[in-house]
Amino acid sequence: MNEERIVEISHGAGGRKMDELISFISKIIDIKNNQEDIIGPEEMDDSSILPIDVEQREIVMTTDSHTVDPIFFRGGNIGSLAVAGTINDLVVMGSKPQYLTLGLIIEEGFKFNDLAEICKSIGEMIKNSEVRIVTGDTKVMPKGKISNLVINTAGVGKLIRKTPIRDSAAQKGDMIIITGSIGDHGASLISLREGLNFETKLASDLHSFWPSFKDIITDPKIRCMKDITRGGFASAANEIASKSKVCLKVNEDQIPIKPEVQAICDILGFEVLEISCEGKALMIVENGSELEIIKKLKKFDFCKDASIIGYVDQSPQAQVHIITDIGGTRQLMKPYGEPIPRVC
Amino acid sequence: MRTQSPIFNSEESKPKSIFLRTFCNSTIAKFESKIFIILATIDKHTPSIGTISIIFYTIFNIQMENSFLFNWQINIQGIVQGVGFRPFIKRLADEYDLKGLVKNLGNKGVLIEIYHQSESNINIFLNQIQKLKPKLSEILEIQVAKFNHELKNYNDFYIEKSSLSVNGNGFIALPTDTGFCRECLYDFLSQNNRKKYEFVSCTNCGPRYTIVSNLPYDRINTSFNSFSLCSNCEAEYFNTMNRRFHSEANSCINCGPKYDIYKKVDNKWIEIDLDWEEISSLLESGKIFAMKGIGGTHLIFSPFNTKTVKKVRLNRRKSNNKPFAVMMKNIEYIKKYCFSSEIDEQILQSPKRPIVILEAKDASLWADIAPNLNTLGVILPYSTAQLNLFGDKNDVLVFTSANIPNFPMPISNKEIFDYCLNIADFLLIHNLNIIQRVDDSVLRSHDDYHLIIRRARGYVPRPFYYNKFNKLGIAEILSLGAEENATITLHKNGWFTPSQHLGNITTIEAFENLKNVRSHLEKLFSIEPKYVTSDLNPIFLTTNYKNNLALEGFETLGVQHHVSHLYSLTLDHNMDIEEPFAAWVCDGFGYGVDGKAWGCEFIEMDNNKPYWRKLATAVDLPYMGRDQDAKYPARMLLNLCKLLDIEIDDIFNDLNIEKIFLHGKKEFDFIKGQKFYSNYYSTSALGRFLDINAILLGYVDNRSYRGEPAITLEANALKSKIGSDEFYITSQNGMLKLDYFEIFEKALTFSKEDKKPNNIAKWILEVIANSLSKIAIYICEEKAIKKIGLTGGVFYNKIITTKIISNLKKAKLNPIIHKNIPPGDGGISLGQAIYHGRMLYE
Repeated sequence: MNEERIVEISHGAGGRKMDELISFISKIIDIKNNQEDIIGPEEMDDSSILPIDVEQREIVMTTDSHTVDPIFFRGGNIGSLAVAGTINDLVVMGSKPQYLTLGLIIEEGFKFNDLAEICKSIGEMIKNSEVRIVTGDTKVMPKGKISNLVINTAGVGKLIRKTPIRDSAAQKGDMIIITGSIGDHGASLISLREGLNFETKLASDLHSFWPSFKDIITDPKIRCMKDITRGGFASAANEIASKSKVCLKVNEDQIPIKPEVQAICDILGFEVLEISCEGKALMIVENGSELEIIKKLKKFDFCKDASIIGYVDQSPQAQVHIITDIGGTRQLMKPYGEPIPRVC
Repeated sequence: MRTQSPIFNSEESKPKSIFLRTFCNSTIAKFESKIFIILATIDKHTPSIGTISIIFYTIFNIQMENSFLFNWQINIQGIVQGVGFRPFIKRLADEYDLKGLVKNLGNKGVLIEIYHQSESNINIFLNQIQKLKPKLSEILEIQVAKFNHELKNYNDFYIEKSSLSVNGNGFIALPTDTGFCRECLYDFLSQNNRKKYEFVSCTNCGPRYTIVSNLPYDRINTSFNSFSLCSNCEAEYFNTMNRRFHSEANSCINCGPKYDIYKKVDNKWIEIDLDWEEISSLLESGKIFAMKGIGGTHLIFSPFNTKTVKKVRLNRRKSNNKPFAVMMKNIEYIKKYCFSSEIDEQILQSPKRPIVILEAKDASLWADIAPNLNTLGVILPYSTAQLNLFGDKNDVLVFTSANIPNFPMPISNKEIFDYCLNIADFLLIHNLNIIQRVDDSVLRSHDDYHLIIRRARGYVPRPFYYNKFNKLGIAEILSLGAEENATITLHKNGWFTPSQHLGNITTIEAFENLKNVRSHLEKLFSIEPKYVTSDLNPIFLTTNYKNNLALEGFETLGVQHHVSHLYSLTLDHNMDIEEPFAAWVCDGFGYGVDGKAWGCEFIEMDNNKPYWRKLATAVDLPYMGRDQDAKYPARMLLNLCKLLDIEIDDIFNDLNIEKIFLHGKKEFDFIKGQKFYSNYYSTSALGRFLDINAILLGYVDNRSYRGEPAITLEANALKSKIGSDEFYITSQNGMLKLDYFEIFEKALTFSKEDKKPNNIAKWILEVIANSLSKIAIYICEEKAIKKIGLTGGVFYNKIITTKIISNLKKAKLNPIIHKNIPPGDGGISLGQAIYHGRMLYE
């Protein structure tokens, strides 16, 4: 067998070797497909030039850097993760995602084969999600200065509703919806990292919200929508509670959690509500609209566990309350950043 | 001529300042007051603690000319309201033919004004007050002012209406709720209008803190205000010679609160008629009663009906093993069922009437009540209503709070109806409003001394006093405690008032209760703190609350958990916080200043910031799963075996892997194969090490309630008679450490040699005690520290604590253990408050 081709430091030096690397990447992703209206990707100019939105809608923009360990996991890899993450951030604001940037920082010694697989996933993901990569960048870092591969993606979307969906719009009486079981991504990754081999079927819930949520985000009855990622449900719920100055009251037994996800958290001593997702949204919807929205969500396979999990109350402001079947109500705090014991 | 006016009502009649000050030790258990009377102007004569006798500074008398007559104003502070203090003063004054008045002053105790008396008579009067004061009263400070302006003509001694004065640096302590006295028992048995009456009380006993909404302690400020006195009771109330004179809770069958009885029919409460005989028969037959009482509501049922006990355990405890307390008809039954010392019996029968944990004579009798334990929490009736439950049918009844787990105890009738519907068959409910919910206090007996586990009814709101803070004018402080067995404390002018036990503050409902207690205490004692303290643990709700208060302008401070324990011990013993002192602080977990899990720390008080220094600790145990490890200590056992390269299967073959791990074999297999990260999370906690050994020896599967593994380890060790002088200490980075590893490996060797588990358990506890003693003795001899404290939840353990005390005494050192403050987390808020005060010096 031939010696495996790896990324060398010279691949980032700005010379012909770099051109080689870039064309390797863009070919696999198929970046140049369907780019006739845009100046940039084809020409590899310094910047791209994008057509201005003719409907005079607001532009929505976001950026996100991605690291993940391991970079290949059940249900995806760092490439699909980077693309879906940025798309989802645009979608939950109420916008149609259109353009992405792609910045790759690669560790010296990274295998071309692995890079190819990642780029393939990126290509599939942008195609399925109807977005285009309009500009990009690659850097190579010396071995050990970075772990494998870091991807930065920025995204531009077009608002497709009157007003954007904001974290601050929750009101008393609204209902709380979660679009599927939580913690799958984090638990799956942790089990891989830790060598927990008894839950081999559990995969990351990595999924792009577009175009599935096309007809959902235009519903004016949606007040808030948040992509649940780092910090898990706890972080997303607290963001909404504090920005909207309301209290989210959540019934513990209605939060969809897969038993294997709970088991992984038990065994490793993690709080499942703080575990990350990569294809789940937390929604606050106007009272009365929740059943309709759930019905729409459940049509998508990745939302089949969508549930109504609680309601919004006026006070105490900026708190998330978890109501348990026995044992009272506990306050769910924003995760501290590392697990802290509390049992004396 | 004016006959009843304040002594000084104009500028020129200001008193010539001659003050007498009486200081007392603030500790509770000693009923003999330790009193010093000094001239306040000689400020340096601040008393230290030690002498138990009244010392009059004779200089005073020499300077005064006894032949002159003066006007006097005497301000007495302490527990002097609601205990029959004013009528007592009136009777005493009458006896000595003194003229003047006595009145309650909101937060400044009792004021006595006496007209036209000589110095020497006043001294006798003061002396007699000290000697004869009412049973429930406690004098903490007396100030005397003398005036020689115009004399007044008084022809009697009056009890004047209370006035609300919240000025000055005074502090009024409210009496605690106490069990019925002997005289009231007699009335309950024989007095026509009080026969079988459920609310018999007098100035010497009965509810106080639980029924007071405001000070001064007058009927109008209690929940008895909604009951008008009948003519009989009114006559008692206004008769100075009656022991119910100004008894604010005075009432009888004709005019007082009443019990109503409800039966559950088709999941609804239906009011029915039952007499007490019928009730006690129903109890005997296994029915569950919920009963509203003093400060809370209890579930009451027969301990000998397994089905009933199991039903309550399932409903209220999620089937965990947490023991229930039992109420026994009288002390004779306690002696019948438990081993009790004379001190145990005294405490059980004291006005405080706490639950005392005693060794059961036949543990098998209580297998449903206190599973896997050899102890039993017992209590005697403290309200006359409770006496009615026993009748001829019952000698022992389970007596447990009616709250849903992690909810505060229900006290409003609506809550009681709602909360008890899914568990009780009958409801005994009354129409007296409970102002403050207060649990029953719990003490652990170590035979000749006691440790408070839960400080509540009978003990609160008794304050602690630290004179230095008063002198230095340390600001008002609110401290929020930890999170389990929580209390809060308010400090003002050297007075520390800890709240009642508030339970686990991990739920919103429990936390709301904490906030209510805070505002109630602040109102009651006129405290408006601007400083607030909490634990360092960043995820405690109390820490979060403190951070919110910071936004409101409070000055905040976080105090390390074990440092708080250390400082609480100084307050318990009225020690100077600048004197040489070190303590072992051992428990299950406290957030360390380095973010690690601490729990076996030898800490010295230091006179330089941060006013403490860690001198020794224990080796670190893997604690990667954090709280999950605490709940399932088998995880720590497995990791410890891995760490020490011990053959794992040998040990775990004898254990029920499916039970000791939440996820059974797959969890076991995973942890077995899991690698240690280079910087894995670890703990020094002795409580956790005890947990590990309880699993190793097969006493429990996991922790179904707080402290269970360690408690069962001790329960079994107590069955062994062996002793040991061995100790295991190591040194790492120049710090002495208790060596868990050596102890563990040695215990395993014993286990392989087929030594009896109970003997191994005893050996483990003995060598732990020896090792802690050795380290303390070694360090303290070097540092010339004489006082060595023991604090933290581990020291509820009788074997460890008793052994260390004996070791230290042999080494001529002075062991300091808790008396009136819980060694566990119930004492944290007091420690935080005094430490915060220390930070406010200068």
